[in-house]
Amino acid sequence: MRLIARFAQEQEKYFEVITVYDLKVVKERINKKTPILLSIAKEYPSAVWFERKMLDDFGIKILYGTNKPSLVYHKQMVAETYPMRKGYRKKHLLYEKPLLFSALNTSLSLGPTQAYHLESSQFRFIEKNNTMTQFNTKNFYKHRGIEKMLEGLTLEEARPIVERISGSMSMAYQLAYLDIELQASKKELPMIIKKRHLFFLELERILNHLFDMSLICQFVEFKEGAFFLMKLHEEGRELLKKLTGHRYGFSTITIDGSLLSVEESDEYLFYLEQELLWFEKWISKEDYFWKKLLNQGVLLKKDIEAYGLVGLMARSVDIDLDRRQNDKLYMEYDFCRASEYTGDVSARFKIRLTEIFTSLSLIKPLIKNRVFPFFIGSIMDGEYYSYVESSSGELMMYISIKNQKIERFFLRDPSFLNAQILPHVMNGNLITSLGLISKSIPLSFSASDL
Amino acid sequence: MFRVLKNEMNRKKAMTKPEMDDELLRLHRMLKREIKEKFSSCLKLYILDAGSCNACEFELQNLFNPLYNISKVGVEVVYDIKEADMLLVTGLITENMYDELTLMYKQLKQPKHLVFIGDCPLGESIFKNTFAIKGHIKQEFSVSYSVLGCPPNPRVLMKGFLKYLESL
Repeated sequence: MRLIARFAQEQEKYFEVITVYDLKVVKERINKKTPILLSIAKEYPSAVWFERKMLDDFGIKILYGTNKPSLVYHKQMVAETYPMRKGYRKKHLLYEKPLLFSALNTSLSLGPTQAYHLESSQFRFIEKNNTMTQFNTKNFYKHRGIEKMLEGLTLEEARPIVERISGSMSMAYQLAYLDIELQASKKELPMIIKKRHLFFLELERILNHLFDMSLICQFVEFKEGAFFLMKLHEEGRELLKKLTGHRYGFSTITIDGSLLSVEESDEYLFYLEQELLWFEKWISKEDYFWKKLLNQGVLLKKDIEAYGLVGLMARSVDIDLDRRQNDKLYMEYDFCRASEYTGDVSARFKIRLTEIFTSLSLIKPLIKNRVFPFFIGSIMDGEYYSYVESSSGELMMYISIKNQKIERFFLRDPSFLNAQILPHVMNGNLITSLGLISKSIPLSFSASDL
Repeated sequence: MFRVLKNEMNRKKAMTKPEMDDELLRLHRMLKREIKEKFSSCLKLYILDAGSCNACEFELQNLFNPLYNISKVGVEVVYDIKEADMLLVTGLITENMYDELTLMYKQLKQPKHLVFIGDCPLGESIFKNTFAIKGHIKQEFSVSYSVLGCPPNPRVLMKGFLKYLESL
């Protein structure tokens, strides 16, 4: 079984720990007075961050886990302050004294100095003969603040916030949220609108892949490739703005009368396909380029399975994991999952290119589709799970609704799993390859606790 | 021989520059002049994501793409704050990133040019009610300039930089 997420919520008389696997959901009741939970980290290493976060959020102590205590919990925070508990209603976190610089570990060096690398503040490692050792990622709560902020809101009130949680994956977040709204209203979206949504999700995937591939080229000093892909990406962003009014497609996944016409994308998509076919042919002969990607940041299938990595990380070692495979609409268009075997940067680059072609073949027939308005009815209380295959991998959203309001909102972004592999893949590599390896992994840090 | 020639042709095709419109050309010209006058032709930026949705970082990175290409006017991103002329901050300034910002601000050389990017650092965004942000940040740092937008697109960013540089 694959671990998807592990999180807690507070009920009236107990804490409930929900562990989501691909095949089942397990719920455990935890005593509120002495909250203790048995760790599953030995079997599922990626459970570590989830469990450490539960300690910070709710004060649930973990037995037989790793010895690492909290995930980010600030040392200066007032004792027994657990912001995700229902009783915590303060506007800001409570501290015993102001935060101090001494909290920072200054003995470790900062990240690299390549262009296009903005995450240097997120990494720490010790340099030895130009090699990285004791590499560590600055731990983060991905969206804890938002999870708390949405509690008590109606689904309608929360929607504008959810659609802006992620700049690069806004469509995926909007789709997961809409899926929950549909589940809660017991309605099925007409196929014709689903097709329009598929169009935007795949367009977002294309743009993100173009951007990442461009950065990979940049890191191996293949400036012509980087230039070319960045140019295509920019044109795509401008197209998205023309179609949706926004370069990142906020407020795009709608069901009402404001559905967007996508016919203007016809020309760009045709041009993009032609350009990428030419690019693929060209780089297939650029041995210099592939040599720099081969055997860099290699991850074995067993490690990827152990850490439960998602998205193209899993597909780079031929793990059969792509949520789109289970979707009737995708199957209607003969969707075929991309796969590679080597688990290195070159595999992650190739997967992206293949996935762009797949996305193009999926969305081109959808351009001429006419759409009609649709309305969601009343919302039913309950617990709802949603999964969307975003450009970075599987996104999971959980919402519990009580009295028509959000009781608990939980997000498992792909980065929360994928980032845990960084120390494993970085240690022992040359510092110069840090940018290349980290950029080949789809990560979004959201700089801790947006 | 044929392969070398073919490769050269491919590289040339890939490097075909997108056409800049009049507005971009004017922004380029004016930014170049200001940077030359006030930063000896090289403006070094340090970018700190202090809790953003990443859209602002994307747009900052897009400034360096072949269309906007601000490296051509002398803008450079550095990864050591001590080398930077200007500290750009994106995001809500969360509790988790507050230390980092304080440290970077302290290490930024004089005169301290601190520029906020997007609506979030000013606490004006849709996420302003989260408990995870520091709040009242303006009182603690001397903010030189803010480029507003959610996110500000590359043109807005360029116009913002120009306006700020002209005010110096």
